[in-house]
Amino acid sequence: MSAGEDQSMDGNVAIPALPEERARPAVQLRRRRFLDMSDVRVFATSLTAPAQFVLLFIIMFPLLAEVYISLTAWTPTRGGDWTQAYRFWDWGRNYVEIFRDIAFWQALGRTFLIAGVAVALEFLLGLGIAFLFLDEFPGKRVFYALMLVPMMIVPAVAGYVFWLFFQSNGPLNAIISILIGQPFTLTWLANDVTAMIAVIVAEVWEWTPLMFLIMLSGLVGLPEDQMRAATMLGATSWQKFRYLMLPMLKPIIIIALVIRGMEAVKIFDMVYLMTQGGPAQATETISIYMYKIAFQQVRWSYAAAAAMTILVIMTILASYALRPLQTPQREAA
Amino acid sequence: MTRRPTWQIVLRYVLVLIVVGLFTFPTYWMVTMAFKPKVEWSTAHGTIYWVPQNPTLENFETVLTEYRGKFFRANQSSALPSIRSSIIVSIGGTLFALLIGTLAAYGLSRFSRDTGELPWYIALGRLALLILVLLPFMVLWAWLGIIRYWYGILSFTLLGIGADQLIGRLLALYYRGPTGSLAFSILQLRMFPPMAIVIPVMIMWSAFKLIDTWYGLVAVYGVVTFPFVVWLMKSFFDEIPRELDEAAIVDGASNWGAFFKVVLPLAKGGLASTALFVFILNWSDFLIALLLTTRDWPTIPVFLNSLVSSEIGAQHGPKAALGLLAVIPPVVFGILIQRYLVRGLTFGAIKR
Repeated sequence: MSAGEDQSMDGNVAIPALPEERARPAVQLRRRRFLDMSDVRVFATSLTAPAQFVLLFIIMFPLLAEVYISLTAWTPTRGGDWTQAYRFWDWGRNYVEIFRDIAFWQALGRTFLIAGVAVALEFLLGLGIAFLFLDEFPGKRVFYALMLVPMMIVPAVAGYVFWLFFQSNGPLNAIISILIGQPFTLTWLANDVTAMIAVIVAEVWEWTPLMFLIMLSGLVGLPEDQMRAATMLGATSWQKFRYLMLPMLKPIIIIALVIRGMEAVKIFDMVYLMTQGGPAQATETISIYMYKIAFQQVRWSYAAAAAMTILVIMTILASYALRPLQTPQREAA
Repeated sequence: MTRRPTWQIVLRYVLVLIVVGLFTFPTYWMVTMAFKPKVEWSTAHGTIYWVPQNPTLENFETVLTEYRGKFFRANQSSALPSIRSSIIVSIGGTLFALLIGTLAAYGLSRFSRDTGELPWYIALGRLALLILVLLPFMVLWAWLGIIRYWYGILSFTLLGIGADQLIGRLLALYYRGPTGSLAFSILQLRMFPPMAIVIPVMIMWSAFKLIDTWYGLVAVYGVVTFPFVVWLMKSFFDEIPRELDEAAIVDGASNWGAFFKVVLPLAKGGLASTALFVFILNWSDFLIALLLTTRDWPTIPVFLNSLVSSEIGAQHGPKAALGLLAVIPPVVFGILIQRYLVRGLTFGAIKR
């Protein structure tokens, strides 16, 4: 419970210096109880213990099971349950196959493409809309609340709404028909490029409000004095934005981009409801790819190997991407 | 403040209207679709209905009642069970996440020390070593045939925790760099696509007979959302001065007493908004419920998906009605806690 606890990877519950009035007496009068909560170290450990136990329990076993299965060629349709997987042991041929699997790497690249384009658009739109909402104007509160609604819509429902939206007889084509003055019937979700556009539009629609909120809170928090000083010294709006606002907003912008990027990479619900990764594989993200392998092709061991590969890639990315969320900038924001 | 010229005010107003219009339109379309009778659903007849001409509640009735073999539609079950299961599972998951997350957040807020982050190659190397050590045992457990039972899984997990500790000690002999922090490794959990861990979770859950039960789903939701609780509550606890708990202890309260009677009541508002926030997250989940439920406990998104994929005469109206029902709680709660939305979604990194 005490000595080695702080050496483990997760378990660094710090041991602060004991306050003097809580220090242990020189002569121990009675045997110390097991789990003595007046001991700060025991207390601190027991606070985080449930979380650590749950983490270990929920991660250790599934992780090992995943590795175990990924090293075999077992799948539910080959007979036996997963415990019998050792009968199909094949020394990690799945991993070799993953490295040769173009579909896997394409899905990975597509995921980063969708995430990159969507997050960039969300950021630009969010910043622009935040500028619109910077000053007071009549009805601002109502418009503000309306702006927040998309990000609270359940993603699966949003996926369905956009599926409706992009149908060949849906509202979008109706609007385009009115604009160009002749019937327009494009089946958006049946074409490679337009399906991709549709998915990105849905993602941007859902999450621009978050960017907007973050940017607005950043802009409101900027020091008024410096802005006024810059105006007095004759800076143009662009100069104020480029040399004053942008540098001051930088920490917030970085945090917003990292968090949105990290969530966007996981995109599944909306794509699944809109296109199921189709047409063919045009919108197949990495989550959809794994879903198809595991539940449509029923190749569990291969899906497990793909999952392990993703875990390794994501761990490496996470350690770099999450750096801005750590201490220094947290204070600045 | 200098007054802006009129044309700028007008221009800004027009832009705001356009932007808000664009962002509201999909929601508007779903809401109107929910109230449209069947003839107005699509543009098949050459006209599109921007506003329902004959608003009706028929769609809600269709989706909430059970139909058996009406002539234009096959059997269709009612959405009521899925609404019930969504409510139960989301609340349960929220409570579970709050329970373990709040305690950990207090511990991390008061007693944690940030030693800098663990380099990824150490983390991965350590993980690889652990896997290498444990894999033979896993095969052995499998060969013995005990791993599919709860005692097999439990004993294996205990073995794994022991091996993890051992490797930690060995590592500490040779590696003296930063060790990272629990808070940070919890955050890293959020990076992984849930799809990547859900296969073994399905296996484990079927071993525990937890597939398609509300408590199985509650456990997963709790684990998936508790990182949010930890970071959010940590940011609230950090705002409460440490001197308060120290004062309580000097006045004779125990450590637990200081936490429950002094700190927690002060963080009440934070706790409530965290609860609503996590509820929204649980309510919005689709993937986990899709994989871990089959017949008895599908949540609303899963049920909606089954409606979408079974193309029985394109039931746009009822689907939109169900979507509208599904969207009401998160939107209401979201508006309630709008002050804390940013804080929640950025893991407390941006406070305003």
